[in-house]
Parts: sequence; C-alpha cells; structure tokens
Amino acid sequence: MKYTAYAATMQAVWFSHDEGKSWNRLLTPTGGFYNEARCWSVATHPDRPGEVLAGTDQGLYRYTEENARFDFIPSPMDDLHILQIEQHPDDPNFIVCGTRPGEIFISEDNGENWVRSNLNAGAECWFINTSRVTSIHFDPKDKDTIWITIEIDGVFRSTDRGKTWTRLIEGLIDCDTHDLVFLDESDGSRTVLCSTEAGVHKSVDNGESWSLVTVPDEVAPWPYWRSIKYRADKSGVILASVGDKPSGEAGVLLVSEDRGDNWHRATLSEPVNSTIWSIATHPADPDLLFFATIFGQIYRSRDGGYSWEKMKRELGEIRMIAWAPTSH
Amino acid sequence: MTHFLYKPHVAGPEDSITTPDIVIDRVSILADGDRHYLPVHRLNSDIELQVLPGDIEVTPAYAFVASGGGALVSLAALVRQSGDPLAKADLLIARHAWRLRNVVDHFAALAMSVSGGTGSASVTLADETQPADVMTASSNAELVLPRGITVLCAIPAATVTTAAPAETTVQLTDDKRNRSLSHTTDFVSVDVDRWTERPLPRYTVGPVGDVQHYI
Repeated sequence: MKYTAYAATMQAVWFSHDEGKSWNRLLTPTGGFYNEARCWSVATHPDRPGEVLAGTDQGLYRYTEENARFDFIPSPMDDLHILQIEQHPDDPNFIVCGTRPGEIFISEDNGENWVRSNLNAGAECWFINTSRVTSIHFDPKDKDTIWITIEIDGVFRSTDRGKTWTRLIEGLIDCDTHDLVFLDESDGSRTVLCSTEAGVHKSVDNGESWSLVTVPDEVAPWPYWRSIKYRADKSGVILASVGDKPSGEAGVLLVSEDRGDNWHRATLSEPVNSTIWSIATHPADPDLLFFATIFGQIYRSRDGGYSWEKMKRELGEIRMIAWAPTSH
Repeated sequence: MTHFLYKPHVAGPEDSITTPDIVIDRVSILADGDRHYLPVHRLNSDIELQVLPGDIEVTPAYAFVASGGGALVSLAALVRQSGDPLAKADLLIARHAWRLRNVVDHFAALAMSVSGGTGSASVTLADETQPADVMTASSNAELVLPRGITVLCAIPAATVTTAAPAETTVQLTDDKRNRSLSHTTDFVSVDVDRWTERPLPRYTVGPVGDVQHYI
C-alpha cells in the first residue's frame, strides 16, 4: 500500500511519501500559503484519496493530488485559527471546523457556503484567555450527532448536525478537555473516554455524567492526558498520550486493551522531548500508526501501537499528524 | 465580513492583563436615546484612518463588549464625514479595556474626553447611559451582554470637527483607580499620497542566471 503522512506544523504542512523517513513542504509557488504559515490541522477522507484539508492562520486550504497544490477555500475563518477539521464519514462535503476562539463552522457543500454554529462555548477562559476547539467527532452510531471538546469549556454534543449544542460537564473535574474515544458494544452499551489536563474521564451514559479513571502513577506519572485514539480496527485497543504539561519536556504513550480500565506503556525507541500531541490511525492499516510530539518528533509503529520507532527527521513544532493511502 | 475579531488587553484591578480574542458579530450605537445597528465591518481597532477630503466629525463613545469573564468597558471614536449621521460612522474601538465590574460602582464618575481638531470636550458619564440600562436592554441581566454583542454609547455633545491631516484622541478616565484608557487616531486624506515618489513594484530573483519563474 502506498500512503502519505501529513504533519501540520508551525511552518506549513509537511508530506512524507516514504513511511515517515523524509519530509518535505510544497514549493512556495504551489504551497498556497507561505512556508512559515501556522498550520494546526489536516484532515483526510476515505472517499477522497489524495485530498487533504489544512487549517491554518491564513484560512482553510485543500490539497489534491491532481492539482498538487493547496488551493484556498474562502470561508469566514480567515482571521481565526482553524484548529480542527472533520468531515462526515459518509459525506466528505459535510465539513466541520473548530477554531480559536472556540467556534464551530459548518459547510454542507464542500466549502462553498459556511454557517457559524450557535455554539455557546465560553467566550473567555482561565489561563489561556481564549477558548479553542481541541477535537471534533462524528458519533460512530448516529452520524448526525457531533461531539466536540473545548479547551477550556468541557464537552459539547449536537444531535442535529451542529445546529444546537448541549454542554456535558457533569462529573468532569476539569473542563480543559482534549479528545474523545467512543467504545460501542454489541449489546448497545457505550463507554466514552475523555482526555483532560487532569486525567482521563469515563462516561457510561453517553456523556451525561463523567467519572475520573484512576491510573497508577507508575503508568501515567502526570495527569495531563492529551490525545486519545481508538485504533482504527476497533478491536478494543486504545492509545493515549500523557505528558508532564503543555507543551512539556517529557511524555509517555499508553495502551489499553480493555476499554480504558487498565493501561500500560508502549515501548518507545527513545524518550520523547515533550508531550505527544497527536496520534494518527487509519483503517487502511490499523497496525500502522504515527504520533508526533508538540516539539517536532515523529514516531512510527508497525505493530498496532505496542512499539514505536523514532523517525530521524524532526519538524519544529507539530500540532497534528495524519496518514492516508495515496497513489504515490 | 461576518464578524470582527476584537483583541482587547483587559487591565484588571491589580494591573494584571488578560487578552481574550472575542468574536463580535452584532454592533449598535446608542445616541440621544436611539439605537442604530451597524454593519460589523465598520468596527476596527485601527490607529490610522484614510478619510475623504473635507471636514470629519469625531464623536467619542464608551463601549460595552460581551465577554465570558464579565462585560468589558472600552472606548471608541465614531468617525464620519461632516454632516453625515452617526449611522454612517467608522467605529474605531480601542485595544485596551477594563472589566465593567471594576468600574460599575463609580461609573457615573468616569470622565470621557476628546481632543484634537476644533478643540476638546470632556464630560462625566453621570448624565449618560448607565451600564444597567444597556445590559437590561440587551439581556435582562445586569453586567451581562449576550455573546457577540457590542454596544457603543455615543456622546454627540462632545463631538469635535477636524480635517486630515489631523489627530484626535478619545480618553476614558477613572480617577478612583487613577488610570485611563485612550485611543489616538491619525487621519490621512485619500487625496494625499504619503510618498512623494511612488516606485513601480519590482520582481526580484535570488540566484543570478536561469531560474524557473512561476509568475
């Protein structure tokens, strides 16, 4: 399988066509934005191989293999920071973007028209002053339902494709929320995990209430849980990153095989230099994963996330990493 | 433009500064008892404004901005061609602000001034629209404005007239806390080119020799 890995960095979007060994940006004439543009997010969709959406401080962009460049998508987000992008699993034309300040923008026609959702996220927050969207998820069971996490304002859920939102913070000991994982069982039961700056929380009532999961210090020595991902084969394996702080100087990657009840550390070829900010998994090969630390390191796993090899190349500051099958 | 991204530096009571970025998508002027809703693209924080030839009028205004930690108080210069109504004004809102809760108990004692152009004017806010009136009109909750709302309370009696090139300063002073907010605007006429000689733009290359051009 040929694939491309993508890294959204504070110096544009980088591409790797050789399994993460070497990384390159587009030439400026085809880059769409300047090489030092701050890029926070990249998104791919299985129905659009070779296409990448990139969220930057210069607006929203689309890369296609056919055009081999980033083309600007006009939107109301040009002066905002586009931190998260997610496309509807069954309809890549349905695009949801999350920004700083904490707002949600939705297009149902592939970016032609946009609506700012009536999201009542905090307009101001402690410590970082301005709230921001840290993750967006289409519900695996009801794809008209969208979930988001806001730093700092908790978890929000919309059951009407983003028109209205409900804030779900009962039991969260910290509203500095980062990411979600949904674990649906054949008997209809569901567990939702939420990573926060104060540990990982669990909900068994679809987000109506949360409880802190106790993880031993020898496994997770710090409370700062950042990225949490359900491995793409949905076989029960969850990966989560824990760092000493944001941005941090150390971190670990945890693996759970029992719905988040127990965790153990993955084996890394060498210690990370900062908190692991982003984990990439793709159904085309669940055993192939990447993660990136916020300070530029990239690691790759070929065994489903149990062991990781650090790539030689580092990229400054990375905010998101992804991979997807491509034609070259 | 669907919104204006306001980036105030909010001074707290003990000199702490917070810097929330605030999406404003609905702005109105209160003047002489009337409210005018204006396009949000008129709102900006520029310190220099190009104006048409002729006299311009600058009306000071104090501003209430919805924010999560409590409404903000800032100030603005409402700038329009002489004779035009306030509804045609550009709305220059300062980048500095206070938290309303820190001035509400002595709001009437705050002083607003404008200087430049035909002179200067200064008024206390005792006889002007009070915060509770604005908040009540907006949300039925004192000290709270709904998300995305900004209200500019104009003081037409303090309007000054000037013509570019000129500079005006609007200032809001809090004697109780011994501090002030101000916003100075330079006006430049569109008739005057700031450069006496304006060169043609050049295209340059790095290496000398044959290179691939993308233009």
